[in-house]
Amino acid sequence: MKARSLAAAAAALTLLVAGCGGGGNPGGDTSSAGGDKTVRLALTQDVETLLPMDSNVGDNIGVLEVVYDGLVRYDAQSTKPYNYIAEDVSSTDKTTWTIKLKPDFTFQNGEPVDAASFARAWNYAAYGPNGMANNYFFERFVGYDEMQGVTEEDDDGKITVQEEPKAKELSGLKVVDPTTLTVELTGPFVGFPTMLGYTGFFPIAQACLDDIEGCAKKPIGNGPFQIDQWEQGVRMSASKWADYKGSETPNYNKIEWTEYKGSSSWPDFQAGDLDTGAPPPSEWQSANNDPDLTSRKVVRPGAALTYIGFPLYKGAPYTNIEFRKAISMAIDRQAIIDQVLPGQEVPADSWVVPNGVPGGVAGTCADCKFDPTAAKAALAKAGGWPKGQKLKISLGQDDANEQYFQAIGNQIKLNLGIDYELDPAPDFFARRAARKFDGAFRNNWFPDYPLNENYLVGPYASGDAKNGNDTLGFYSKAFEDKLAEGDKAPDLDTAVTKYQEAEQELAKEFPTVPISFSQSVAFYSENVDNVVLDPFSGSTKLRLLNYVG
Amino acid sequence: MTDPSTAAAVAAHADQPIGPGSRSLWQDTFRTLIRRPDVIIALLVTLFFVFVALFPGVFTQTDPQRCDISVARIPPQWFGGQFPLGTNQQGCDVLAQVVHGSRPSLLLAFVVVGCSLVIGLVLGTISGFYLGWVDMIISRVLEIFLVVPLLLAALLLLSMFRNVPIGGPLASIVQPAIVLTAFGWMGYTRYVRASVLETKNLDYVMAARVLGASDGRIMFRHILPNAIGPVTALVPTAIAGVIATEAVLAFLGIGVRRPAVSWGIMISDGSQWFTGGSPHLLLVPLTCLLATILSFVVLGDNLRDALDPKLR
Repeated sequence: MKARSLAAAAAALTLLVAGCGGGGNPGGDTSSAGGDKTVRLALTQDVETLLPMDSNVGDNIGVLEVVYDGLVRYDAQSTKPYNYIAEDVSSTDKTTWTIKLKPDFTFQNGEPVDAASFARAWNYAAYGPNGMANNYFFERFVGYDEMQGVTEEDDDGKITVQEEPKAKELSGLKVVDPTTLTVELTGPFVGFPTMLGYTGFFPIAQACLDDIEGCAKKPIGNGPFQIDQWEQGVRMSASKWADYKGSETPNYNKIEWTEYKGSSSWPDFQAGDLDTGAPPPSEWQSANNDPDLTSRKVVRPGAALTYIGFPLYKGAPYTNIEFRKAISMAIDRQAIIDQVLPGQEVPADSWVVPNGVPGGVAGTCADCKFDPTAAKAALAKAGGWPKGQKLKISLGQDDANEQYFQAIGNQIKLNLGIDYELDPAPDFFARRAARKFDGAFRNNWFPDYPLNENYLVGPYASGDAKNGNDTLGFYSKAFEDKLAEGDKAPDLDTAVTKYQEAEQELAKEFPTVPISFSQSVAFYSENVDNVVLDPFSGSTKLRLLNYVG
Repeated sequence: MTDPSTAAAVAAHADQPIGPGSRSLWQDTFRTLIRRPDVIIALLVTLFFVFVALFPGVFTQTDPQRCDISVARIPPQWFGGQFPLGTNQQGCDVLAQVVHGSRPSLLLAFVVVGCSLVIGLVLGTISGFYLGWVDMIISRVLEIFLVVPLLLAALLLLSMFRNVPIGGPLASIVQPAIVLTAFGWMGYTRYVRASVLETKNLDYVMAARVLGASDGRIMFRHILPNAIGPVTALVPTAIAGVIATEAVLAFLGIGVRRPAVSWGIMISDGSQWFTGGSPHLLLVPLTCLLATILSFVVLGDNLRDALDPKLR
């Protein structure tokens, strides 16, 4: 009896599996030959929106890269921007910029991609009460401050407006005619055209603005692919937009994303259900020793900097530069990476990624070398750590990062004798913004556009001498002066040099401890080739990916 | 106190000469158990691990939290080496971890079973003795707790309150202890209630009542000592169950709080390295866990056999 019921259960399971296989690939064999070139990818960050103005993590930026076209696009190798939707971006004084658009582009619903479509996206993003993640990119626009008002965000991300903003539109942004847009900045900024390819600067259709929530789930793009369906947290699919007029479009016609938690997608990649994947640390060695797998592997230095921040707003001992240097010198970055994230990170000794963006050079952080003796001396000079207290290390909830920071904490304990406590919290970002940390905390920054300035302004600059910047409470006049000099520079090369000097000012202040830069690694299946990784986010460049099936 | 006829029957079955003032149930049980070699072995293993948990310093001088990543994932060097059982991925000494990890694992088990037992004894005795509305309320509440699957409740509660800060020496085990106790007292209550129902109608209870003994005295001096037998047999098995549950919770990331180390946490961390070149990271804590669970189960089985005459 028992054996028979077991057999029946097995039969039922087989049927179920067969049913799943048939359902997941509707008409895979019966449709016209070559008509169903599907690329299957993984998403791991549990993203909640596909609105360009609100998308600021690797996953939704990666998806939107094929759904939207920006004014400029970046060369995958050199990271240099070139015009795409824009005909020309020019300025005589680097303060007032004129953007000329190529005519005749349309959205997937037929609306024209004109100057107004950019203006409505930018105004929406810049309007404080909308709470868009990419809001801060418009800080340099004239009229930005008048659009912020006073708002408060609670733990669920719900925004209450306490004081209505004075303006609803950026006064520095003007639609001259359907193909011309002028932007007035608060000061000269020579790197402005470089910013324009970022996700936060994509245009949106009027229909999208009328139904923002619907658009966040099923965007109306102007790129080569349109989203068919998104079952949030489970899967997403996109198919080629037949009327696409742009030149950059890949040779496959369907993309299927499956959502995973962390690095749990690796078994599915090994089973052949995904076209790209990366192994978790425990599988790293066996994957890299497998000649078949490594024949289909790409490695590219990434640009994301992981660094440790301190609550400078809390006072001693965090405000003591020797204390911060002691922490930095106590960490054997290479040994940690070899064990916890082998091949996926490289030790950092600068605040701007070397060679990854213009102006980035190695070695600006002299105290990023592992030297336990010097670390102990620096700690003694700083007056030591209060006895019996634990150093809290806060970070978001993420298995790989918990292991990474556990190893960092162990190093601090081993080499400085400071006991630590790991504090992984789901509301990490809200607490960071509210300045609620009392201890070291994890930070990660990857550039939104290829310019060293992007590594410096976002995390450190504020112009607020009294309170310092938002997340750290850091302020340095010399640093901000150098940034301002760079912004006013007559050409990009001079600007880059000035920003480099700003990084040196930063090194003198040593507000944070650079730990490592990402290194992107991807294995790919036999179905695809020409796998190029994005130098910033590390995700696969979907427009360059080639389907060979 | 013991019904003489039962005691006599038990003694006869155990091939013991029937003495006049026959031994108590407990003495009898002890004599039965002490003759079985599997019980002796199980007892020794149990006592060994309890000793390890109480006096970790005897077995290792290394701090389990002192981890040097430059010596990570060293295979066991056995006796004489600096790391007899090797090191884990973070470079911590596995011997020190497994020795210090026994304390949270065992402490949690003893705390949970102890608390559940006390709750079960009190509620079971009260509800079996008074019956009526007291019994109805206790039984309905019990059923409510019984229908909620333990793992679901533990997952829900522990992940909800994961970030609540707790201080004190027991901070690392307080939350799982509360949850596991909250969903672990029902069995004991039922057992005690059933035994009380059985015992309370016996003649000597009636005699005590006639002599004017108070309810409390009858319950705790007369009924309980005789009703406690079957429940005692549950205890070792339950301890084994809690140790195993802790390992499951650790695997789900919601068991004993880090940075405290428990066997469950070690197993969960080590499992991914089993095929990754360092099988000792899984095998060492797993062996300890299995040995402990197995010996508690053997003890529990034999205790039940010895305590419950009906099973002979």
